[in-house]
Amino acid sequence: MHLLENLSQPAQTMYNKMMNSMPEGHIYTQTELTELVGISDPLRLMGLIQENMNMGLVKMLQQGDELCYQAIKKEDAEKIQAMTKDEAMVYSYIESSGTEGIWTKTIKAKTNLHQSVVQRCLKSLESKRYIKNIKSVKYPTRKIYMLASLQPSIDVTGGPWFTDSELDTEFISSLLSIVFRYVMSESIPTEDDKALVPAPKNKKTNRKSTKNEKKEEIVYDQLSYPANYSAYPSITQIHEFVHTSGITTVELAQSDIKALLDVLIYDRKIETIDHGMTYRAILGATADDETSAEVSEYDSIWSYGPFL
Amino acid sequence: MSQYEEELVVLLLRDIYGDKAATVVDTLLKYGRLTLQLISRYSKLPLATIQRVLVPLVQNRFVLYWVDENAGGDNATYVASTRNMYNIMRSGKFVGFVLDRFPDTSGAPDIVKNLLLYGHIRVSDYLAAQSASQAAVSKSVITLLLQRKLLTTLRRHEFNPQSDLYMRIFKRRLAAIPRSKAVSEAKREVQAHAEATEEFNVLKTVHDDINDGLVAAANGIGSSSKRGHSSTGSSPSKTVDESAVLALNHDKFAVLMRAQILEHLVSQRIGKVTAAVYGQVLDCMEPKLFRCVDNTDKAITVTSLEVLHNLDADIKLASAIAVRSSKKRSRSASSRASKRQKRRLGSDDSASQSDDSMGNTNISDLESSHRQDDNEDGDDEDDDDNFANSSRMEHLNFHLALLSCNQNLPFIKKVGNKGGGEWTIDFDTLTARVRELEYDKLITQKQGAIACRLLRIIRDKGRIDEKQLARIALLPPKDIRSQLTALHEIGCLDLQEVPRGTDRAPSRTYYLWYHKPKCAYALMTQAVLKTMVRCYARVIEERGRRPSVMTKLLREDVRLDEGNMLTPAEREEVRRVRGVEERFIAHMVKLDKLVLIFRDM
Repeated sequence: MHLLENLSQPAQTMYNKMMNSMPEGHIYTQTELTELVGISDPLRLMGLIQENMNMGLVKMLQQGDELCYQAIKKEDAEKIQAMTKDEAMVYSYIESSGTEGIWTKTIKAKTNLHQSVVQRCLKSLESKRYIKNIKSVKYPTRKIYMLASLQPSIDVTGGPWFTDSELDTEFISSLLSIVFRYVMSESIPTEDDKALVPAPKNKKTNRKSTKNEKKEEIVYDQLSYPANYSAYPSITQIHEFVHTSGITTVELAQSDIKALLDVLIYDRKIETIDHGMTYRAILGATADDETSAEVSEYDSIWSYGPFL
Repeated sequence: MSQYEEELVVLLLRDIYGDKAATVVDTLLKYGRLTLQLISRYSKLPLATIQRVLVPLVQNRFVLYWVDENAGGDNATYVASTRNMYNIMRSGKFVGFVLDRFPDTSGAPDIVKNLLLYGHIRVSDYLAAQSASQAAVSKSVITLLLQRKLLTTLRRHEFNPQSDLYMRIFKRRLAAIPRSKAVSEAKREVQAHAEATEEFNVLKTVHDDINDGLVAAANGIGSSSKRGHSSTGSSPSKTVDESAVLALNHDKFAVLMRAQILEHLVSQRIGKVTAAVYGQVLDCMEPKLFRCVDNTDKAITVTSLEVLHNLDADIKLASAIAVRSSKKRSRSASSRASKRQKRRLGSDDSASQSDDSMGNTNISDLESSHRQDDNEDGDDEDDDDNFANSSRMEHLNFHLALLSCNQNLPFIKKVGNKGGGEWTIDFDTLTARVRELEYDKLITQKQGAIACRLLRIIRDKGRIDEKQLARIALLPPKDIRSQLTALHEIGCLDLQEVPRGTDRAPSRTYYLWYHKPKCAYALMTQAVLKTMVRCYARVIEERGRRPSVMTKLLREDVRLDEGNMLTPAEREEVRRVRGVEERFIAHMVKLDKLVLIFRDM
């Protein structure tokens, strides 16, 4: 509370109005401030603003040619007030980098501070839990910092496939298998789907069925949807399935599902139908990567030579 | 021709025709075209031996000869034909194939076995060696085999190398075009080449004629050649020309093997019923297919009606038809309805309803056709023949549509509506796809599913760098490097460097992976042939380890009565050797299928 106590009464009122009248982080232009505080004299207004800025409670920004002002939370202001000047500078750059984070080398270049000073600042800021070190997928070797309270952006984390900036292969393969099973269940007919309804229960047909048996028709084990079958799952459906099934808490966009489907296509487990609109499973494909019987046909061909 | 194929045929000859034949062939393969004297000099065998050895080799067309008319004197030169020798590998399958289609008692397998032994046979000679009653049967069987083109007539020129034949025709044609100042020499040659190619092709396709090697039967009743044409080769009034010389037709055999491979693929991808239908489609086309790679442009078509007539009536086409059950329908109906609405941009419920009703009509159609089937079985069986046929046609079309609907694997293509639908097969595309699938299978076996995934992405994208590849494959970049280099090692992939600047610093260079199918397949085929060589060498080695019992087996009396002439220990030993032999030879037959797919299909 001591920050506010140092302010004059009008300056305190102005700060409270700025904090409360608009949602947090709102940027005020000078005219807006004039209306808000009800002080038309620019000099007096400037004085009040300056008073707040000295305490770090108001930040000055530039939008185009105009100067604007933003109120800062008391706690944050206290934090900054407690920092040394160097720390405050480093902190301000890290803060402005937002969810992207900032590379230590960039900090050094921008602040013009010596490497060891920057290091010291970062160390002390980190120990106070103001900032945190993150790993970027794009530049795994760089040391990148951002505010401790923020979540890194997708560019930095690499999207849903990455956990701690490493490709989560287990997650991906389990998703692949789940999506494949779904597509398979939707595209390969089961006994329920037999077009020819089982024989009705009257006597007449019973007699006939025995007659059929006598004829010994060649019955192969095959069940296929017609060529123009249109209810194969589309990407929207698959997305919806993954979403509603609650397999994962990670938010997956449709493009992520598309990536999964592409991999399944390259694994020759599913194929696109209808010019890529819908997907269906390839007969004989299995969810696991175990070698199918067909492959092991050439078992032990590979005994000789570099290739074989 | 390749090193390993040559090694393989030399091994085959050494095993079947003996050391001397193998030496002669080996010499010919090493030095190319040679005269008798030169063969003798290089192989260090006496002339008389070589002459004796060459007889069976020439008979089987393992060695082709050429006599230059202009040179005069005895100037015959000899060239080994690897391809003809390689065909020995397929003799077992050939006999098996004929056994499948002709009963053992018909004598067809015997004819094929004899042809395998002698290379070629004059019909009259073969018949003369049999009793009168046997000869009559043999004659009719030979006629059948010839009509199905499993046998082919052999002409004098087929004992000559093709390149020599072509040059002779070319020279004759060139001489026939008069020299004049108006026509340049280059132009003359071009014209002569064009004419020669045409004549040469006629020479090559001379067996394709439906009546090749057939004459009107002595008791034939008014069989004009026109009728023979119209009733695709099965005209009973034709019989084999006794003066014809016959040999096995390996080109046709490859066509039949290809049909088998394709049918098997359909049974895996779609199902057995459809495969049976596809087999029938291929069967209907077969009389018009003479070799796998045909340069003629004319598409061979077959109509649904033809297929229907020839299809085994016992195959239950309708049993394979599935319609989405109502249970499933309700489960995901809501989601599908919403999807449809989105796709059709604001169309109301009626749209989805009409779709559903379409599905319903589909079911009811099929149900009604099923009822027709029932009727057929009922009292008025005879009257409903037509009726049942039409419903069977519907079911057949269901399967044909299935075959044609897959854009990735177009088993058949619709080209017209004649005869209930006219279909053709684009063998070039299909063969390419089959090769891809087979190659992928091999890569999966050798390098694992991940490597195969990468290969397919590269094949799909053309040229691609590692980062992109990792992104698409959803794999960590560090993992795929080793896979890619492994694929590179076996010749499956190649790497292209594209420098970003003038300096070729590795850090400033793109590395793009790409896959050249032709090259990759060729290397793979070589590897397969090499494996075959090793397998065969191993078989020979296994036999060589037990010399005493093996030589005993060769004795005529032992061969006739193995059970009594061998001691139990020897029998056990023979059994073991044969077991090993069997395994290796079965393996070679599998490998030969790969050679067929990648080289001869």
